[in-house]
Amino acid sequence: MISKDTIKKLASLARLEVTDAEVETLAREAGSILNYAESLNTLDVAEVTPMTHAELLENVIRDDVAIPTDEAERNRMMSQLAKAKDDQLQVPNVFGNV
Amino acid sequence: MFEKRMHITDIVTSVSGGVRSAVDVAQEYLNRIAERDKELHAFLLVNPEHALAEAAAVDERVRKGEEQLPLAGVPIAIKDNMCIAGTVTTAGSKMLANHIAAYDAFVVKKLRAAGAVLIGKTNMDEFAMGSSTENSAYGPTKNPIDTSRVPGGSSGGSAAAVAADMVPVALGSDTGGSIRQPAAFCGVVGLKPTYGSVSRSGLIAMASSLDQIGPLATSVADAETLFNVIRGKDPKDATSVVPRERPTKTVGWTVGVPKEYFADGLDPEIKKIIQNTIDLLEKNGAIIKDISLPHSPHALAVYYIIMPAEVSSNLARFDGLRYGYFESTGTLAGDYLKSRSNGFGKEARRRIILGTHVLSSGYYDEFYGRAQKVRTLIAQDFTTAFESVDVILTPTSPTLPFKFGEKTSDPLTMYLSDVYTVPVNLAGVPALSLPCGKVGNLPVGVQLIGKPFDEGTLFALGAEIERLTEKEG
Repeated sequence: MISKDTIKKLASLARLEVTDAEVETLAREAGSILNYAESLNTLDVAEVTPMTHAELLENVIRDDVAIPTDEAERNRMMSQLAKAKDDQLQVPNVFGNV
Repeated sequence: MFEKRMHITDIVTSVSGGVRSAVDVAQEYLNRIAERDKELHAFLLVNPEHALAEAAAVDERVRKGEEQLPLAGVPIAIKDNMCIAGTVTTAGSKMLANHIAAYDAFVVKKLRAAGAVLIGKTNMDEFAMGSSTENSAYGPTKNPIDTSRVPGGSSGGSAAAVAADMVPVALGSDTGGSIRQPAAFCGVVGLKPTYGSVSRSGLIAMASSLDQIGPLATSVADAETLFNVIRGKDPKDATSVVPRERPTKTVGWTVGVPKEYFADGLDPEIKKIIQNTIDLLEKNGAIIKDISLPHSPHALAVYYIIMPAEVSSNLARFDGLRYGYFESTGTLAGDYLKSRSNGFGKEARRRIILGTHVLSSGYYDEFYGRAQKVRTLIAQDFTTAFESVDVILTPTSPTLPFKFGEKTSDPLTMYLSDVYTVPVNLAGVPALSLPCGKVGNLPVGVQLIGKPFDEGTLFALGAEIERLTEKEG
């Protein structure tokens, strides 16, 4: 029900590397799960509103004012950056060699 | 098997009253962990020095006598998907093996304020994906009742730690049954609160519209005390709500028994035990009503579309750049590919792929859009049922705790473990699992499902079942 090409495309979208053996297994497993979900197609949902959350949500907003992060918290975050330079996260060039 | 268990009131009374120090209590539980966890592997992290220092701080606060500490000196284990500032928080994954939490989860802050002693982090299925704790990147946890069997999942470590009396109480998280099912498998009490009752700030997210943190304990009363400490509106969790007040029903319950939960697939031995519990309640004044939750048979399918979709979104943040497992290749694309592929385990990769598919252009309406609509129907089933009953009673799990490796060959087999628990998360209602009998020495859990924000009624009925089961046994 899911082709191997689709699996490869999905893996690429999700930034995951999959071996050929894994592509086969994933196609089979994802396929069987979606087959199981076929039963949902027997239901008439034309007039039903989709549900995203148990409660109706409102955005929580606050004033657009910078609130300094607690120093210890900040240090813990900064110490875990894969690559840092001048107190900033350093990443490879986004547009080159992609 | 074990010496008499201490409950929250036992500990709080003796620590607050100066009869016993929090340090002494903490040391006792640390000794038990040192002795019992070698075999069970419920814990991923225990730091005795930190725990004893925290306990000493609690003793100091008690001595000053300025505060009410509802959990004074109570050691508690925390599932390793909840952040404790400065400690390694792995979510059971290799992806976060070296991740140090930058801040405390909201619930952790609440526990500290209440005088609890954070004793350690417990094992779990990776990123909370699983029903047996076999998907942990750090090895499985054993069920203390029968060590050849799984403790359930994904909060298997927390359930086992409580069942083995290595801690009196623990926190777990529940997205599709991950507190209730391990509670049932390990013979303890577990609550999944109403969605929005407990803040998810500091909980490593799995499926944001389904996740809730909840207590695991050896008594309904302890679960209730712990729930009352951790609940509350949190500005950092936009989905947390001020609970609607509900009058608690403490007697004369009308209990709904949905026929869909007693059909094929339920172990006949479990069915007998649950029926026995129903009969006990009826003999003692409860009104039993046969009801139907007609869309229940579709709940698992809905869950295994919506949950992976949300997972694929939530796990997109793990790219190794800001924290976590990182492999450098020289290009950004390569860094992402290697870090993610080698950081995530099999189940995580499977669910990310599935989630990406159901959200992708061309498939969104067919799968995700449709699943969201059926979710509405499932939620409506509960709303309708609750017009005529106070509580809904079902088995928690269709099977007894299974043996290691028994359900790992095909993902769907494992997913079927969640058949009675997932509808609850989809609807956002609360549910309590508590032990109600045994098959041989294996525990059976009964699930009580309640109206939104009606945990009080669940605790009341749960306490009654506890009383009746004890009287009988």
